[in-house]
Amino acid sequence: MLNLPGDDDLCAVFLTELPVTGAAISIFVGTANETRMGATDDRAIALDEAQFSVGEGPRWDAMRTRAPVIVPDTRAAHLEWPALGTALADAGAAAVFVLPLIVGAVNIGVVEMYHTRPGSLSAPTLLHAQTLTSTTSWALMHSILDEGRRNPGAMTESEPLARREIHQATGMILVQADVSAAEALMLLRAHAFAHEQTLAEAAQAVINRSLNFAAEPDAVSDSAGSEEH
Amino acid sequence: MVTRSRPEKVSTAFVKLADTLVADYDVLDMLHTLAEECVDLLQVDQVGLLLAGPHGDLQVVASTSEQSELVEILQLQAGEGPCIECYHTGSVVTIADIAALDKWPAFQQAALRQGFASVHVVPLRIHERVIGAMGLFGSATGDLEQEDAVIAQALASVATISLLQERTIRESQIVNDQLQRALNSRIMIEQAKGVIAQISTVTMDEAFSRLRNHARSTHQTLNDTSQQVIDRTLVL
Repeated sequence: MLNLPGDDDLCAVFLTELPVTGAAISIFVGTANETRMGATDDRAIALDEAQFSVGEGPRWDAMRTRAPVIVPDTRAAHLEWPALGTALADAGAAAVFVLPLIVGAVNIGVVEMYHTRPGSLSAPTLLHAQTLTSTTSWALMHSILDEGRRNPGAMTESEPLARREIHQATGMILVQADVSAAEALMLLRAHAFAHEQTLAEAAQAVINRSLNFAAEPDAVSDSAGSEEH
Repeated sequence: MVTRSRPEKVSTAFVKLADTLVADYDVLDMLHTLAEECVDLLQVDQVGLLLAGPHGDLQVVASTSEQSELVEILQLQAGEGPCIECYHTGSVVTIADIAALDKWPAFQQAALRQGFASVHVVPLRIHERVIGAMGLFGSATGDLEQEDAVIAQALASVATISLLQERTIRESQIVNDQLQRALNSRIMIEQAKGVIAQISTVTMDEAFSRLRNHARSTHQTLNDTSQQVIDRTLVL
């Protein structure tokens, strides 16, 4: 589990603001490949786990398409996801709404919400849900970039997401290392932490072409943060 | 060379911005057009636009130069300086002589180092809500001419309206959504610039102009074009 602040609070806001029974947030970047962040109740967790184990379902579609996936009636879910079958309905969800957590091209994770009654989300409600999701994405990204910082005092960086060089370097690294945008950002973060640099400093080195994450043996160990460059 | 009168230039600029009000226009392209038009029309050298993020932090969304110097000053300003002041107060901030400033030492130092002597900042405001700021930087000292100041504010207002689309401005939810989309697109563009810079070994400035030219010639948004570049279904 990542040790990020306010994990369950992050889910609670969806419950307060939207007509849903429960919510869970999963994130896919950070120290583990797959980490559930928090949930408002056990059913929300069960819904995520049901999809996770079969490898299909709305959460996967939302991740892949980077767009909301609305399942107004889970009894029909087997038509779209045969392997998932009636698992969502069996877990007690009549409707499921999944929204991707994204910042730019970086996929952070998903917010999975459910209702015990079937039905869709109205257009204004969906818009509100997307705004909440976007705010959550930015907050999570800030936490993820901060997480694991060895020397917090020395490397405080206000608003790292506002710094263009970090995003430009992410783009360069995703080509160099042939990885996703999220992985590229994590490589940059790992390097910065290992070398006690700010993200902006590490990013500038990439842009100046003095730091490269090409998939060569030394660069690979570099990405693990164990070697001087 | 054809010389156009000032009123002609001004009205052309407004028409250009108004053109962006048609359906599926590209917000970020429009903001770049605004910045470029300001340099063309007003006695300023560089222009940068900042929008407020989800936590009220200002982020650079468009600038006449992708050069790191201007962006650096704008980013710095996001912490302290005339742009953040303009955003917080909702009022125009004019610094006729940056060298004579007795506050914001970090901003002052950075701006002078880059050769800027004056700055004029207008708020991007809709009704009572301020959504960002536009900084006009000059290499000479002195206040903006009254006429220039009026034109700058009018251009900024048109841009704000097109950014938020008038029919939706009363719904704060939609305003938030539009703002966050613009900020997300900006990040996507920066990432795509990095991809292009890496694959084609070009500068960030060149990467941006390739992105923009392709988006325009294929009638796509900068956001969609950036997505294709990042997915590497498009090589520029």
